[in-house]
Amino acid sequence: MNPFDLRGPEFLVLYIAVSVTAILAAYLNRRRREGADTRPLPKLEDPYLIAYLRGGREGAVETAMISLIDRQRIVVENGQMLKRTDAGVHHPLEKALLQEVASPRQAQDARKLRSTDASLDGYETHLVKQGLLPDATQKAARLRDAAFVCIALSLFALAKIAIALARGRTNIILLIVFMVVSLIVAFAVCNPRLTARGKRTLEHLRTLLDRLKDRAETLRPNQHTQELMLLAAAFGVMAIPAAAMPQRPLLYPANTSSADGGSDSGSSCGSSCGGGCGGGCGGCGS
Amino acid sequence: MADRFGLGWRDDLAAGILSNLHRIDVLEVIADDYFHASAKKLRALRDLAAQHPVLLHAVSLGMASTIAVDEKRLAVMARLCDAVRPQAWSEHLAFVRAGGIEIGHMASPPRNAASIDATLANIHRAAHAVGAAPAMENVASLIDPPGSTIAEAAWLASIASHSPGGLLLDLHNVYSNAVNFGYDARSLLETIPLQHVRFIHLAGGKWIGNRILDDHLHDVPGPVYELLRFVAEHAPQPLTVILERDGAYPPIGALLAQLDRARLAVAEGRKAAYEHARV
Repeated sequence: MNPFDLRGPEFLVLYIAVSVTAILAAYLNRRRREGADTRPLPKLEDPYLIAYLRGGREGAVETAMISLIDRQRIVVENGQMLKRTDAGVHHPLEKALLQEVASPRQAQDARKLRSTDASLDGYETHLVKQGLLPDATQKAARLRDAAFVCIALSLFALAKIAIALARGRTNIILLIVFMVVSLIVAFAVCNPRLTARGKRTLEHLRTLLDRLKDRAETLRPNQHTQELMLLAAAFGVMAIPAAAMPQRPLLYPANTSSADGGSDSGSSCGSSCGGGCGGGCGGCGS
Repeated sequence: MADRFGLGWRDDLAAGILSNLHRIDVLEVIADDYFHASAKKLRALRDLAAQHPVLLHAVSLGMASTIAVDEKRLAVMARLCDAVRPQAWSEHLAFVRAGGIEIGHMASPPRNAASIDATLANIHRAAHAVGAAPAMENVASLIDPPGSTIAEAAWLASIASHSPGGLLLDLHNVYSNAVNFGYDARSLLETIPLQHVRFIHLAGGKWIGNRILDDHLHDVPGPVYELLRFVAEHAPQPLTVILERDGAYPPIGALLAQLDRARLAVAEGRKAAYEHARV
């Protein structure tokens, strides 16, 4: 039986089944390929390294901001971020952020702060070396998989569209929508920001820090601990309740997070999937 | 192998510990917290043990008892050790149940020949079931166990000498019992075979009148560091020293400072032993 002779609704069902199968195969292939790394998970003691793993550069910047406020190096007054002192600030990222708020900035501009500090490039390199972020070879293999799946799904849909148009039918909108959705999901599944090992490392850290998240409401700033910083690093700034840091909602209001997103995949997933991709975003961190 | 200094893993201390692993040689995890843990939590512990030396410390097997240790509990402990692969495991020289009643805390058994034999039998059962013998920890008590016919030091010495997993010497328990029952803690340490000590626990407690309750909620008192120095001077083998804290958690820096003080005490003890050897 020629699948292209199927009626519209029947072909859509077939197309969804083919898409799910192809995407699942690509996912399993990537897991198999990247799961060969059997080294013990690396120790990540530096909260910025954890933050970078979770949310990339943006995650690290947000965590640094939380740390600076926690230590009262930056204060938020009258809706503005102000540098109070740079005493005891040694990390290049923190220094760069203090520089950015040397003249007062609006609190809601916190997400616009973009450190250009090169030390974060070292974090990327370190995480790649540890196998937590994909290296060039893995990226190439992922792109190859994504290209193969996307081309196959596109050709399959386009062939049906061409046949339908040749037969004088114009009800092709749903198929085009399904095709586009399939391509987005396929690309996201093939190209999560983290490797399987990276995702496992983040899960490992989050499990060990579960209790910290549970008692987040009891945390308070300026306690000379790294707990707020680590909470932001591992779970994102939105995990910090207003009770623990009243400035947090001013700096990072709810529903505007781009580095947290409740997803393991961090900023690339957040930006590629946006707010409306729902289940598709879940695949990013796989 | 060198002396090692570590902390008892508590979920409330996780952030501080994970940020300071380079200052902590070893972690001791309460085994019972993981007896019925989710697969996710177990996987996290296994990964932690692969990254950093981990010891498992059990609290509810009730090894120092004339009742045979429960095979089902041992099987759970064995599964946990198999899953986590700790460097070693330990239990207490205490009983926690009798006559089908869970008493809810660790109690000192009567110190007599029968409890020595039964405890050693339990240790061998545990070693057989788990595949490695536990290090056995002395416990603190506010009362002298009824039915005792042997002094604490001699009782401990008998078990330590025949226990294949060696002794986990809790120095705050030694100190507390010495205060509570009016003897010299050093005399106890001189009696027990210190060459069988593999691990040391440090902790703090609180005074209740003229007695000490070993509650693990306070800093390690000065006399305990003195005892640590003494053990380091007289026990030539590498020691693993663990600081225990079960609540009223101070900032991690305060715990690390206590660990540093323990390092200093051991270093002083080692130095004194070296100087004795030279004379």
